[in-house]
Amino acid sequence: MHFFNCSFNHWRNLPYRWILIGLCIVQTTLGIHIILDPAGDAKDTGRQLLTCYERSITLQLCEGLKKFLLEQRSAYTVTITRTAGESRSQEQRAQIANQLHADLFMHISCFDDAAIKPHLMVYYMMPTAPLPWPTNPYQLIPAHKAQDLVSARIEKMVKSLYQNLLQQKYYAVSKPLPIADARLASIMIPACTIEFGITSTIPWTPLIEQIGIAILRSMEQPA
Amino acid sequence: MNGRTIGIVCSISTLIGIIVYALCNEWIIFRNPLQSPQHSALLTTPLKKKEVSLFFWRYERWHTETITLSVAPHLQEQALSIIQAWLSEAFQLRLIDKPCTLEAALLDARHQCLYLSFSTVPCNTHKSTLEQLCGLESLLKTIRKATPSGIQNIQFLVHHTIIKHPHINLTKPVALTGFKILPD
Repeated sequence: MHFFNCSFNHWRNLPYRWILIGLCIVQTTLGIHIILDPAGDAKDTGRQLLTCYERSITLQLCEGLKKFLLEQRSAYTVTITRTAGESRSQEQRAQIANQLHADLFMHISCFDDAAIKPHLMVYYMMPTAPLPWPTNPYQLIPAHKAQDLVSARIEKMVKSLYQNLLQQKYYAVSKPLPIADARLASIMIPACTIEFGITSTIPWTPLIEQIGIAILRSMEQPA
Repeated sequence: MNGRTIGIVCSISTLIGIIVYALCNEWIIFRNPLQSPQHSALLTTPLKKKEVSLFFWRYERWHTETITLSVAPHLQEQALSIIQAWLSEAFQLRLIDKPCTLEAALLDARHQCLYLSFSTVPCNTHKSTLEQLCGLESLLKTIRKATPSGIQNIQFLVHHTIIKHPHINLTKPVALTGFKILPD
């Protein structure tokens, strides 16, 4: 930011310094927290792909996505639920999401796709009935109903993600599907799964920017 | 007692011990000829021939295969035969990657929930979640069309325990109407 590049004396004399200070305060408080959850871990290889396993591709994509998001928005906080040598159960991943009170939890998954134009799917937890936020911190919520706490926000966010992902041309994007997703169980913040196909002809690396732009636009759209 | 007597007594005791051991382990079975043999329920229940449609979702549309099965009148045995036929066909069509058999099919007391215990997860976990759901939807549609109304939910199990599927939450019973992701 221009604010940090100036010397102190020069900054003190700027007529619009108060506007810059205000913008800084707004940007830091507007910090959005995104959690990226790559499929697989040290113990679970995930799906078998043509030349590798799902866990390596998803971790690479998450790391690339984190780098892209932080380059675009320095105020964002992006957390990846695991590193290359770590193992995480579904409960641990959900605990990370719930304790960090993030704005979005995105599970990344991939599969071997035989189609000429690979597929990209967005899944979210099938809503049953909207659940009010618990007033008592000790209230127990069934794991499969945790997403019902934020069902309205999820549907809006997933629709926005889908609209933004449609604009890329390499993947055939399917409509968001509400399913009983085991990877989103017990998560009490807006969460979705993005699953994309891997082919031998079309590289998956451009997806990093596409997904990143879709996330940015979805998070910054007015509520 | 002289040695000959001891030898005879020991031989007889050994023989009695062998006979008792054989009786206990059912190597030798004594059947009372005066008592009439009990026929098992399966032998007395007549099997009926029934035409069953097996449904598969492939290449963006439904495919139907009609087969003739000999089914028992009991709903559990009917479900067993039909699902076993579906699994065999699904394996040939490569909807499932490993041979899968149905170990048991049981109805609950209210005849509303059908518990199905498989030898392995009845879908290919290396495929996309959508394809796996389509495979399960095909199975649900087959059961729905082939069995009489009454069953509302299906609980999927593997070796009589809850399935820990990596992608789809199958810990709760699934409605027989399906996941509503495919046209009927």
